Amino acid sequence: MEVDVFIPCYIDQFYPEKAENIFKILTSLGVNAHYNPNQTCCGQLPFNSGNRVEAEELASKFLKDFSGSKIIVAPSASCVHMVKKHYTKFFFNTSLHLELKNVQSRIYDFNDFLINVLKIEKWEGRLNASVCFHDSCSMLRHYGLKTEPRQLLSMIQGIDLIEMKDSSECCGFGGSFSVKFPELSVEMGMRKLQNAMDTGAEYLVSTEASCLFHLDSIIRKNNFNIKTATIADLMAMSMG
Amino acid sequence: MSENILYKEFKSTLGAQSQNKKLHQTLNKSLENYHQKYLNGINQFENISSFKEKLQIIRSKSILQMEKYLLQFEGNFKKNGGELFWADDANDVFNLIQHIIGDNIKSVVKSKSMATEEIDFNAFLENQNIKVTETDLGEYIVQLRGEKPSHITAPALHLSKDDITLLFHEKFESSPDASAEEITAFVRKLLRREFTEAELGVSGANFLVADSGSICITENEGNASLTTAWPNIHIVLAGIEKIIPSFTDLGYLWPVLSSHATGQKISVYNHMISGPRQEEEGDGPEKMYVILLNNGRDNLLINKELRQSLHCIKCGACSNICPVYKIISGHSYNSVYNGPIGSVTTPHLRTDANFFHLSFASSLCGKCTEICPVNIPIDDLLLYNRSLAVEKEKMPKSEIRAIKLLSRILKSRKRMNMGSSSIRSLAFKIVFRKKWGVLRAYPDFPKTNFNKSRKK
Ligand code: SF4
Repeated sequence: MEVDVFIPCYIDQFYPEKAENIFKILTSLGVNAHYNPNQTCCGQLPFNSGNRVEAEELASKFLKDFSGSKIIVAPSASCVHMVKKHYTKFFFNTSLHLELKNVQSRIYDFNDFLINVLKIEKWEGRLNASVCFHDSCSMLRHYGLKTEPRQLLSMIQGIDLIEMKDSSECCGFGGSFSVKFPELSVEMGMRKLQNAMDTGAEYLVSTEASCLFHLDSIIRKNNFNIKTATIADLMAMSMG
Repeated sequence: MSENILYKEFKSTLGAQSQNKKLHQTLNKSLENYHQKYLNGINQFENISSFKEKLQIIRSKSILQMEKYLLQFEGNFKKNGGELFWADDANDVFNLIQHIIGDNIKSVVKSKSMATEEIDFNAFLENQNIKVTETDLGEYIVQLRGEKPSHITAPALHLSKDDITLLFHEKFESSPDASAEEITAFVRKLLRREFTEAELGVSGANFLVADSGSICITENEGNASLTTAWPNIHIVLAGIEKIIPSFTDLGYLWPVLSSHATGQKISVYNHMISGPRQEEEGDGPEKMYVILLNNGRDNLLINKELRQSLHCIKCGACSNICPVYKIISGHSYNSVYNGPIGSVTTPHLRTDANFFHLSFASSLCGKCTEICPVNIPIDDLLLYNRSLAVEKEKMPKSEIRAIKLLSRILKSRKRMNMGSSSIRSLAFKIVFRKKWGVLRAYPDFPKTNFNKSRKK
């Protein structure tokens, strides 16, 4: 299968290894993963900040960068949600209407893609680690998946999933929210981390790298004894 | 626009409230308790999502044809012997009240009404030496403390049991370790006297029923019963959005309202009051008035997106599950309507000041939208408000410009690939010093970003 991969802007900037992991996994599953080097950002950052003009410019760029007919895979439910839902506000009933529909029907979150498109049932890889799982708001409530990420986690041999209290509570990142209201954002993060550390797990795992970006910075500031990883990171690690 | 004072105040309140462990304990206790009850309460619906869809239809029908239904309500209510007035703002209400009560009234009892909070109704009466007593227990408590309610359905949610015991001990010398039941009994006794002395009862309404001309009130303490029936005059102050087409709609609205507000299957008392005492009746006021209040609601009504916020049935559930509300509590919003839906409506209801920052104080986690019994897309409306705020420059120019600048970088692959890791890291530290760095560690910048390394 041929797919186009979208690497969200913050992963591009902060987490090149997380991006590599996506390609590594897809390739190992026999997927031919393409990367259009012109791609940049889906526009969510300006959109969530109310800057719709800028968001629309980025959105039209995205439609152009991902024209074609391949399935689009992105390691972020929140970017995919941006495309699938909010792009409609820009392009519905405009000259880009068909391009819009086309891209919206081809784009998947990475975890969703593995389970529901590739329909993988097992994963060859072992990683002995205890983990707890944070349901990101965008995956759970916006994108609408709860069981798939857990299914994927359970396929990695050696993973011991300990459910945490309030796993569906927001981590406090929220894009520009985390910068406009840092105290609030960090207090929400602290609550999340407390619940995570209460499980005694080695890793706090989520599908959304942006949540982890924020949580990790709180962990490092406070020298908390817990690590963060996406499911894809664990899968890549388990490949040895 | 110059830096908005309210925004500044809001930010400094947040700083303090984020650290207010005592408040957090109080809120957590009550709200965890609420959540258990809520889960239990919605169990009564075989399929809550289809029920919600039905409610959404009822409410959008009510709001889209508001004029028609309000006129129908007016006709029917008058037929039942009531009098009805339309008020555009607080001053209209005050003039009407003056007209209705003249100089004859010394004492007023009130049951819960957010519309009266909106217009500072109590202060208006007190300025004329009229005694006003709130009769809902939570409202009574915040009145004693000289505060506004911190929550639309649970006015004293920010107070712990100990805070309340202490308050009564200080005000009435009751026992410093009185139980909740003892305090309730004590207040009941106090209030009984107020009920018998009051010449006027003022209430709000949960719904206004067009086809029967009735006002509906749902409650658990019985105080609304007495407020609306005992004094000789009853005045209802209700927002125009409270209208519903038919009393058959109550079969849907009432159970959903109570399960979302308190987790009850249905509240203890549910009143439908259709007018003053009729000739053959023994109870009830001699005169009954309804004042329909606009007070900025038309700003919401004329906007296709924002109109949906008027579907709200004021259950308070969105506040109860909001992670931001759970940290900062209602008073921090500085607005009568707070929590997620208050953050949507306040910027439009309070055009005398700039409240748009409230729409940004959300991580957009979507819990409010998920729980809302009438399916209001609250997080979408917050996003919509943000776009209005940028368009109308209701947020500090520096914040809007920063995003513009960032977007400029994001639009160009070349710019995104510029700079070494040390330059990026330095730039991040300079830009986000206060906003990111105080409570969090700075991110480690990789040597090269993904795109650049992939191209190599
Ligand atoms: S917006 Fe929805 S959840 Fe919030 S108070 Fe109104 S009806 Fe309840």
